[in-house]
Amino acid sequence: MSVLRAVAAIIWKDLRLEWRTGEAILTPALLALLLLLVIVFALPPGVARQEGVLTASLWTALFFAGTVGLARTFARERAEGRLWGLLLAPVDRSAVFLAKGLAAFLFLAVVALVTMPAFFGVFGQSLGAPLWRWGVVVGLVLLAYAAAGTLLSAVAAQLRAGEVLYPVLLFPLLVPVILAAVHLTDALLTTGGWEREGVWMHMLILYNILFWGVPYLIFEYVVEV
Amino acid sequence: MTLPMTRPSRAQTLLLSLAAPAVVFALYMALIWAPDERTLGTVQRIFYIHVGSAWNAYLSFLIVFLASVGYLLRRQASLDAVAVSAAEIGILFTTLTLASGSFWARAVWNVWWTWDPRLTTTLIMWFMYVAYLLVRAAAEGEERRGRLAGVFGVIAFATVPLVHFSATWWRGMHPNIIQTQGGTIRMNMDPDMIVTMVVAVVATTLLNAALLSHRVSLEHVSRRVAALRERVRLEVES
Repeated sequence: MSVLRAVAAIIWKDLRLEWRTGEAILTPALLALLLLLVIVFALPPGVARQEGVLTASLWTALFFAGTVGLARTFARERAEGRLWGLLLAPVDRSAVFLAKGLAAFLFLAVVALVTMPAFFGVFGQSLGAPLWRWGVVVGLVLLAYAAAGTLLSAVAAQLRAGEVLYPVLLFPLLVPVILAAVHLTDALLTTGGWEREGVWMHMLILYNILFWGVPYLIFEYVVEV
Repeated sequence: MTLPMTRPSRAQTLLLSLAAPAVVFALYMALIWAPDERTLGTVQRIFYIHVGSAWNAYLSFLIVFLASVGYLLRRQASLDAVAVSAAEIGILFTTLTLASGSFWARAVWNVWWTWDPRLTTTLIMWFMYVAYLLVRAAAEGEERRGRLAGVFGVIAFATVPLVHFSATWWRGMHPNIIQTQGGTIRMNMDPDMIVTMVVAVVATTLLNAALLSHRVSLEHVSRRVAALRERVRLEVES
């Protein structure tokens, strides 16, 4: 079995599982919208349309809601020894990481796609930049988030009360992604491009290289049985 | 059945007998001998403790990283013991760095905290290694604990530079006393201050080494005790 076919098979399995349970898209999406409510309730009246409020709310909600789905990436493979099944497949184990990471990215992308219009509506903002630019920025942020989140999910799945610990383990590692997300989004909203914040684009790409690359060296040790 | 060894080795005794007077001597130099700073006055003396702690925090986390890589490749329990010991000591020195920096900032910048890159990086680093200890506490079984902690130790250390760059691009106001200009290192300090700083760094590093060696033996003893307890439990049950 070639690596690509294995990756496609695992992603397909995760998509079907998601279709039946809804735990990686539906629950995080609802949580993101609830967080939007919480943020609006918590903000003092009149600041909702100020610059930066949309960016702060959007990423706070997406990063927090995302952990709910990401934490399950490997935790859901624990039942009935499913992880064993995955690991026994005659492919390199980094293929398992790649597939789980890409599936997690797809789920996050759907969550972002369905919840972001609500944020723009509530804070009364227009896109301010071409859609493809938004796609690139949000896509790179979510790719980075999915890579770090999947790696940590594999660690947390083997810990006692791992899902509770998960955000505490993950967020310190995500600091560069969060900062890049906020700066690039602000640039898109105010200047219509990311040229002003070019260094953050580089950071995001570097982070993606690191967190999609390092698992090739280290994932073997994470899931060892 | 032999009881675990609890007496320090000769090397440990030697380390401790070097570190203790060195720390006292460094404190004397930092608090009394070194000259007053022209504008900051006596508050500047925090600097010596601050630099000593910061250097040792980074050194400890480097040791965690190296011991983690070593453990993952070789699977020797002693390397894992070094990793956990260095992590705890690193958190201790990071806490001292943050606290001493905070006192200094209150006096000089008039705030306890500001979001400067180095402050931000140090704080995030503190969170990372507390998370590292949480991973250890939540992992069951010696092998799994060492392995997962090893993985986290490697990832955390690899992420610190990225955190630092992001914090640098975000905001900056931390003083840069030691700068490199065209390949040469320049220190904007009185020579007496440089001497004091070097002594403080050497003394805290000795302290670090002494703490580390004792903490590693403690780890070995506690593992030995856990193994003995397990044996007793099995004998009682059978």
